[in-house]
Amino acid sequence: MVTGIAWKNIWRNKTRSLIIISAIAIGLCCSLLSSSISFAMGEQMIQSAIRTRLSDIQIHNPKFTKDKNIHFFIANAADIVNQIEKNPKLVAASKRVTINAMVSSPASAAGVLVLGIDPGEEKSISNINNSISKGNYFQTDLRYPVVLGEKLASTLDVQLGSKIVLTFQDISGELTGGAFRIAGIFRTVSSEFDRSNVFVLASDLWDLLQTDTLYTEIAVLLNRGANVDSAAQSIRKIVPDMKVDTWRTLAPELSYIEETTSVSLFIFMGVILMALTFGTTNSMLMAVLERRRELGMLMAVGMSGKSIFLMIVLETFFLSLTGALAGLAFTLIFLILLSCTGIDLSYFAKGLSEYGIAEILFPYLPGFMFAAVTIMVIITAIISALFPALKALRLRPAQVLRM
Amino acid sequence: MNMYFILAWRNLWRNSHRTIITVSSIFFAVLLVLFTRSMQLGTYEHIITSTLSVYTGFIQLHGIGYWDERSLENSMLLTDSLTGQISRLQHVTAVVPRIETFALASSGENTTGVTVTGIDPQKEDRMSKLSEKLVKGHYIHSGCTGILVAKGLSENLRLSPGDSVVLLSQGYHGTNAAGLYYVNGIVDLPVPDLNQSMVYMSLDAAQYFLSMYSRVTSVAVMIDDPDHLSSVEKKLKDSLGMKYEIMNWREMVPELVQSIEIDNAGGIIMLGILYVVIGFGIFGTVMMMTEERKREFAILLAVGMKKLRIQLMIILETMIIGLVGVVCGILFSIPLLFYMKAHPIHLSGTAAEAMLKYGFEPLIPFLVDVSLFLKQLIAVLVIAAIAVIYPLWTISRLKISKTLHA
Repeated sequence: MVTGIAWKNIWRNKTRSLIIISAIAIGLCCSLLSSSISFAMGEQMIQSAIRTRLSDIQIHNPKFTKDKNIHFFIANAADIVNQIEKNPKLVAASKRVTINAMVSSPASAAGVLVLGIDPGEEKSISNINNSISKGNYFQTDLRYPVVLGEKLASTLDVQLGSKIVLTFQDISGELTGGAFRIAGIFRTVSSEFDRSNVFVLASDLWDLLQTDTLYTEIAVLLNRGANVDSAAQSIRKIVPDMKVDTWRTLAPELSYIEETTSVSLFIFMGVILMALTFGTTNSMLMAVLERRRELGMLMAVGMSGKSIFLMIVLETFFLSLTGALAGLAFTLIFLILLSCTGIDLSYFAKGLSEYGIAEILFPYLPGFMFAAVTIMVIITAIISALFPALKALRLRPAQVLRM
Repeated sequence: MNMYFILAWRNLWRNSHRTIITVSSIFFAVLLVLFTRSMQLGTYEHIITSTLSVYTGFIQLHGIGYWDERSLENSMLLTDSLTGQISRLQHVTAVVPRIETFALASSGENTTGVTVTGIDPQKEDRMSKLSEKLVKGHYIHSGCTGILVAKGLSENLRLSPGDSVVLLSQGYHGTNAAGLYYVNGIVDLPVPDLNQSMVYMSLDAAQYFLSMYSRVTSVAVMIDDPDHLSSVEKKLKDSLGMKYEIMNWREMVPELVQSIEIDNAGGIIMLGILYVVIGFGIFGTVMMMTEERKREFAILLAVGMKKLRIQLMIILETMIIGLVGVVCGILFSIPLLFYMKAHPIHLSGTAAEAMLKYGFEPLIPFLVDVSLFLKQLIAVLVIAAIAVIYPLWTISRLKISKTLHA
């Protein structure tokens, strides 16, 4: 019964209720939409890092991580890959030889990370093969082909087919190196990556190193949404003597971004809801004060204090919930529209590509945000109801009726 | 006027709860906005000044084409007359020449790629306070052949002061550059990437190493006040623009400038949303104030008060609510912000690592600026001005007889 009365009471002063409802709806809609953009940026930054070099999980010789010396290679890489490929969450694994090297052209020299790969394997892990802007991804007859980033190519002042020299340390610590021809030039969304990584065939590196098959790194890609930490744990059980890292430990700054995005968005939502609380409390207080006579009458004819209290709380609750549902509905509509068109941020392209974010952004919100926001709205509704409801309880029927 | 003010003030306290709630919502919003903005702007300033002092300087001169193609072939001739010409310009505080190139460094069994930076030890120290980062050994001086090695690099190559290291690179005109260098000191650089790769030597030693006598790759110019940047840049371009590439820091680190813009835009949007929500609260209050006092207004009109005067009173009431809120917010935040400015937040854990990764000291300093306070004052007054339109419109349409009979 109280529920019905409470709902009807809201609509006795339509303008006032609508102001509060629209304040809540607009506040929620705007803040959820801006949150969805932040989420999409963070997610894209992480995904682009994972899909270029990082991958979900990397396996190394424990001694390799410190010195990055290829002397510490992975002894039985092929066996390890065979074993871990049984994991159902695993999409693909790629074996790599990674060496820090100096790349030089007639014009200039730079420090880079050389990734010796098997193109077939690597394709399933990283999306470099889809980011080729000139030439191709190792589909070539060139001897010693190399694929490098656009940024690096312009620093070195080289074009497709030019020759570059890679110099690095071999397994015994002696300097060695060789000339490579540029087969392809890639451009990913991350300018940092394009500046500092080159891909060559693993077999060419073995030639120059004068070794047999040798790998220093196994990169693993998981199903999207799979739990990285538990997958890493199960790999650790298979290869206890190897160092198994997830992208979170390999790139703590990205993991930090993931953590802080949701935390800071919750703080932001909290602030907005707190600001809404002031408006709601004010409006409900007015509703109580102008109905003093009526509330006194209800008490005089025997309505219990509990019911009065409940009625005011329910009114506030309905008011907030209507606003929240309207806000969530608008957010959903906008999100659906935006997920088709995307948001064009090309004005900020340079700054974004430094962090690996594409120019067209498709905002999205994880489902838990909707649930969390609804709960937060309910909590704030109850908080903002308390003061007006207590005020109503403290009314003296005898006094207010004689006014 | 005085009477209007007294009336407005008393009217506000007729419903003290409502006034207090509205004022405190503004107070709370202003405080929050000032705190976050001060933190954001302070961080930007921190990032920019550390970039300027350690890496780019305010303005740089290069040989034409050097910026796009960082090759020694695009280096420039540094003469005393050029240095003199630049440093004689008004507002220029330092002219800092550098040579930067890539080399391989070998020590014992280990070889790794390093960035060799030739510096003028005294000038560089004044600009980036390099000697303060010395953890072992001695700083270098002009003409000496010793080198400074970054701490992370020294650990990888297992170097300590007095040890020797072989540097191998490509010199000017493609000559072979090779030399044996003794480690003078170890510097601990805050940025991990640099700490793994930097080798400093005196300008003379670098010029000898790379066979590029009297040549440098860049000349950084420091000025006394960022406000004079464009005037100094213009003077430099007018006199030297034909022979050299002259770039200000914004052109050299467009990524940084844009990422700050993105972050800043995000911050402004969030605060805008907060102000919209607060604005609705003020509007609600003003509307209720008007609705419940229609009868009172009608009586005032009936006894001969002019509509304009009632409207003036209402404007005063709304402005007082806004002003009290914003002024309290500002007054309260001043000591808070000055305290935070004096005691910046030191980050730790993953947050610190993330900031270091992008090359900055893990600090969150606060910025206190008069314009920041003024902007909030204006924002709140604009919101109040919009909210007051409703009662003004209602009063102008008020029909005495109808309202009194209702």
